[in-house]
Amino acid sequence: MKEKNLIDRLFKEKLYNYRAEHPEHVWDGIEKTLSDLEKTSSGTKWMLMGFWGAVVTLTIGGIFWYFSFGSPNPNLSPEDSSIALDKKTKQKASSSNSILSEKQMASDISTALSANVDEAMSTSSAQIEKDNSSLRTNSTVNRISKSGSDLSPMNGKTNMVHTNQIDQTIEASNNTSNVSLKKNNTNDLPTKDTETYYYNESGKRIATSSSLHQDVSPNNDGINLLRSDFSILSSTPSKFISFRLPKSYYKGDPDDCMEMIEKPFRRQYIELLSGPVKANRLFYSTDSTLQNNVINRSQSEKVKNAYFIGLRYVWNLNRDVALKTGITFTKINEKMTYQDGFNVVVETNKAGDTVRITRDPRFKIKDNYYSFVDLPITLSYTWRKNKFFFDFNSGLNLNLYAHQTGFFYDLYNTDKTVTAFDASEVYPFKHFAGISLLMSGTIGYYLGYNTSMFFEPGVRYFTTTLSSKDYPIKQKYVNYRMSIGVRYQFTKK
Amino acid sequence: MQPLNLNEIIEGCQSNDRDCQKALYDKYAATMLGVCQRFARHNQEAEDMLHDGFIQVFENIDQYNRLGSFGSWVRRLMINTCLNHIRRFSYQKELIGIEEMQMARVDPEVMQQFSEKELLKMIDKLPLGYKHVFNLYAIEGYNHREIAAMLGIEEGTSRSQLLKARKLLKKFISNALSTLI
Repeated sequence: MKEKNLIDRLFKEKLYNYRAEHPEHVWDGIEKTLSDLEKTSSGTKWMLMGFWGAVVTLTIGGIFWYFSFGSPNPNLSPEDSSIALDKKTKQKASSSNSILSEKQMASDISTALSANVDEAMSTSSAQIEKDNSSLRTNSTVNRISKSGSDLSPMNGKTNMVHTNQIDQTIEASNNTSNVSLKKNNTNDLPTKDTETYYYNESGKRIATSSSLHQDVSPNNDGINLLRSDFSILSSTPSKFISFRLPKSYYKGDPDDCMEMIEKPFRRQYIELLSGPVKANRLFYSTDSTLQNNVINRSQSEKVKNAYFIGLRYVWNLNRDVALKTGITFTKINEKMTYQDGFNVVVETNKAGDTVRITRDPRFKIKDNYYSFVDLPITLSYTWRKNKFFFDFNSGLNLNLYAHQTGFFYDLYNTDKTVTAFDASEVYPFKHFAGISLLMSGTIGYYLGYNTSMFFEPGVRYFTTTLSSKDYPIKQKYVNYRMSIGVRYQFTKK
Repeated sequence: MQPLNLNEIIEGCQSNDRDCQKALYDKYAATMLGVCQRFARHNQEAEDMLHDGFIQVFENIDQYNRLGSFGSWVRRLMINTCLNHIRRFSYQKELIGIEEMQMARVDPEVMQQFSEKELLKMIDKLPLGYKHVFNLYAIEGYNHREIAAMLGIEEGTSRSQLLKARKLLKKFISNALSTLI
């Protein structure tokens, strides 16, 4: 038997199953570490559960809220608006004859009519007649009349084909100019139509309210005539699920011209945003024998820089909830540090004899590039304060294409060029990085009517690994990004 | 109370049962400390490696697929932990013996007289690179390609270090024998 085998055999036989005396304090340390780990993992688990629970709840709640309560006034449900209106209009009528009151009243009445149609529909064939004397101001006549009958074959449901005509006239007087306004001769004056649609549960339009606003003031600076027509279009009305605000309404104070406000939702924006990304990559392997490689891989990585740029389309589903989508490009440039052998130093004495040799690890640096093209789809909820707005966004990022070029550690800890990867081996990376979860907050400032700028810190978590199915070392990204962007509203004023 | 069999211990560990974890530790700690001592520079470091290794075992025990021997799985994890430990506290400077070694042939029967502790001491005296390669190749049975991957060195380096480790061990054995005589 060869001597080298003898040596190997001797040591293997004696030492392979050698049992050393192990001190008890090692177990005490293990027990303490395990307890700490359990506490930490439990805390982290709860935090993660809470985080994703909040995201899911907000997303589902937002969708439910939008489809359930598309109210003209975000703060009022359709059922509440008539009650609130009564209070409002009474206050207005009793306070003054100011043109603002009249104008506000006009707007309010429009809403009241909407609410009352709802009431009429829900009370089936009831006859409703209201005489809102509280709305009389000066020579104002304000009468709301509705009637309906059940024409259904079973006489049990409200499915009548019926048209209610409601005519109202508000003639307002302006205290300051003391000019009485008349509703006649309005043909040559600017007009503004508003429409309110009513939908049943299946989304079919069943009623329409149209109002004619006409400016008959001397300076054409206010609305002081309103006529509303209601028509029920469908033969199968059922519970209303949605109101829509008029396309426009008016507001202002007595000293200023009336300002026309577009409906505050269904706005559309285009956003251009860009910013730096902090990319954290997580390496792991289901094969415990590859732990060294995993550690090598993660320790070798130094992210140099990363950035993203995106174009986003924002569509307001209502005043506060918006859908944001678009396309983004993310680039991550990494520096990888590999150990490349050793630097050997030979030390000699004066006589030139070698006294010792030392060696230090030698490193080389390689570049590594990752690119992602993604389609983000997020829902956002908006809060506004003066010229500022804040959006909370959450949703998904669908990766359209992922690509890597550069170098990486292979399973044998040698660096490989991705572009020259051996075709016989498993290609380590996917070209589709799957779906990521997105969450961000937008802090914006209105620069003008159409333009605003914003900052948007956010986080993106890859739900799937970037490694191909058969490659045993898996990697995921968590990206933290800070964007700066501009938003332009392109809906017509 | 009836002692648990290995399967029950493993299942208990997967449920984080502390008694089962202790039972697993008692079953393997002695052998694994023997493994760690061959990689460590001193006893304290071996105990640290044992600690870290068992934490790895308990953290990853869900991944044990029951296809191979559980003991081999624990051993592999322990060796990986030792190598990680070495890398983490990387020994920046390493002394490599270069003197020529002239040794007499060693009789296999005489070699058997050495105790485990004496052999361990000899391994301890090896330079770290030699020691790790010898441990992995001669005792644990890894091949040079695997060792190169595990230690982050070239295969040729692994071969060369093994050769030198054997030469040094032969020298230590010769010296020990001459002392005995």
